[in-house]
Amino acid sequence: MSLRSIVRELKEMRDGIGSTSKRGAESKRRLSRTKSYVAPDVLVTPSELIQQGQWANLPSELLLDIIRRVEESETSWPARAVVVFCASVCKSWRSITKEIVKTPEQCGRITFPISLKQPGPRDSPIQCFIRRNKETSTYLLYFGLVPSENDSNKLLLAAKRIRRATGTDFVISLAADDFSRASSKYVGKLRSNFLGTKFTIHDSQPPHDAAFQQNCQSSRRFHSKQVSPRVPACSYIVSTVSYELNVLCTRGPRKMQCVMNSIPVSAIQEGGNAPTPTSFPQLFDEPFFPSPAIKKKVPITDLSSASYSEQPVLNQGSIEPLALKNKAPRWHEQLQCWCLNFKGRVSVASVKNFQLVAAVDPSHNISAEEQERVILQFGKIGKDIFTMDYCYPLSTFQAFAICLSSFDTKPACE
Amino acid sequence: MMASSSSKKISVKCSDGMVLEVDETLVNASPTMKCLVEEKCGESNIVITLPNISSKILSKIIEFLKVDLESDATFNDVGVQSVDVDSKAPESLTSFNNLKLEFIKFDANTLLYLVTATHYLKIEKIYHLGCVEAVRRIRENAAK
Repeated sequence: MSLRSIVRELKEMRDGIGSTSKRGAESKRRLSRTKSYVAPDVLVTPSELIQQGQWANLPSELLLDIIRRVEESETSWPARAVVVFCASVCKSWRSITKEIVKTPEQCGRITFPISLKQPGPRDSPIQCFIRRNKETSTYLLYFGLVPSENDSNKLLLAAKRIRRATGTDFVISLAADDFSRASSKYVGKLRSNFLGTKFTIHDSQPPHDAAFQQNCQSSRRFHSKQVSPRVPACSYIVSTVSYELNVLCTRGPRKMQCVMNSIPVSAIQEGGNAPTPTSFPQLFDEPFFPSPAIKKKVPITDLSSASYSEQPVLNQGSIEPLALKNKAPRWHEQLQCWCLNFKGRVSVASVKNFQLVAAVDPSHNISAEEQERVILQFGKIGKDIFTMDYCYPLSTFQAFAICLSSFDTKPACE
Repeated sequence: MMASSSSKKISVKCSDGMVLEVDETLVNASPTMKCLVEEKCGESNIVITLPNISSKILSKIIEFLKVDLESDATFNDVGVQSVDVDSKAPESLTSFNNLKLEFIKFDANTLLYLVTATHYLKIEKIYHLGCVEAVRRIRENAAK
């Protein structure tokens, strides 16, 4: 039996369980543009193991070496899909691939969907771009400096704007065609208040660090139409973003502040680390409820009226969350405009453009260099095309959600 | 068959029961086999056993080792930079490339056995070629 036929059999088995792999010309086009999933954690039954043949049962040392060589050989998308492929061949391959693949913080590479919720690299930013589609109100986040000519960019996340009576929601998903909150591709959402001045970022999974679950309240449980246990029953507020208009000058740049409830200030102190989830919540487990938060039951809709300092989130627990603020632009006398050094990554002036740095005070003991470091940068480069560069301690998901808020701020703010 | 000198032969018993007579120089190319031989150094007629490698796979490995060693020998004999080395160099490169091409022809199971065997026998060069081919096939399959 050739390797190809073994692999095809495995793929057929996976298709039967309900993965996204398809064959044919249509899928080839899709595959080149879209995500490659790690198949959901389905336990392999003994009969499947027998069919997998001897390649699944290679001595682990050998398997480790081969998969490591595969991982090292393809570091950028779309070719990196081969690493995700290795993880979906069978259980033993999956565990070894996950062992080998490092987090984006360690290697600067994005591999599995969970990489999107892990902090970025410390030394150099991960560079992405966002394509806006006004007709469908969708925003697609791609990996890469700028759109490539052959349209082969790797899609990381997709968002759809949904206007409600009391504000706007941006639903964030792994797939550009599936924004259902009950879907396994649902990653989180961004919710705004009525005025578009305050936003909350909701993550579909609890923060990795148990200590942080104090800081993130769980919202009301939403009832999905499905009975399946795969529904994320809670969402966790991992960040709040607020905009203030510049009172001195109505045409001046607005002030932006983000409080990252899921990232402690210690993450940017010397020797600090940001929470790094290693997997999406188990689909068949009971959803986790952080009990103190449930009892307090602060509804999120109150955020529009509550002022920033009154949010109980900040006073809960002894761990101080990291706050980010936008770097103030300089007024350029000759050009008569506000300027920021985007290092060539932003070319069109727009009120949406911003750079976020850490907002700290002297008691936090953060070096001047660290205080100057741009953690997130967002800006326009063309009609409906924007660049997004982010680095540690933000994750792709958090960075994308913060950038989405920039799309929604109303004229009241300008 | 074309032994350069009358080197000693070692009997190697394979998993299928067959016994192959292998040149000592080739046996020594594998640290694992060399070790097995050294353990039996006192005996007059040395027989080492490889319970996890079939004669088919072992003969393939020996074939590759011969090609490899012959190309290496030209370098060993001559030394650093000389006309002779230059004229021999393309030959050794071709034989290495030929080896690579050989791997592409193998079916999945043979490749698997070769990689496992050379890993066990610690024959770096051939193990590496086997891994490279395995990686190439995985990439090919992923693309489909």
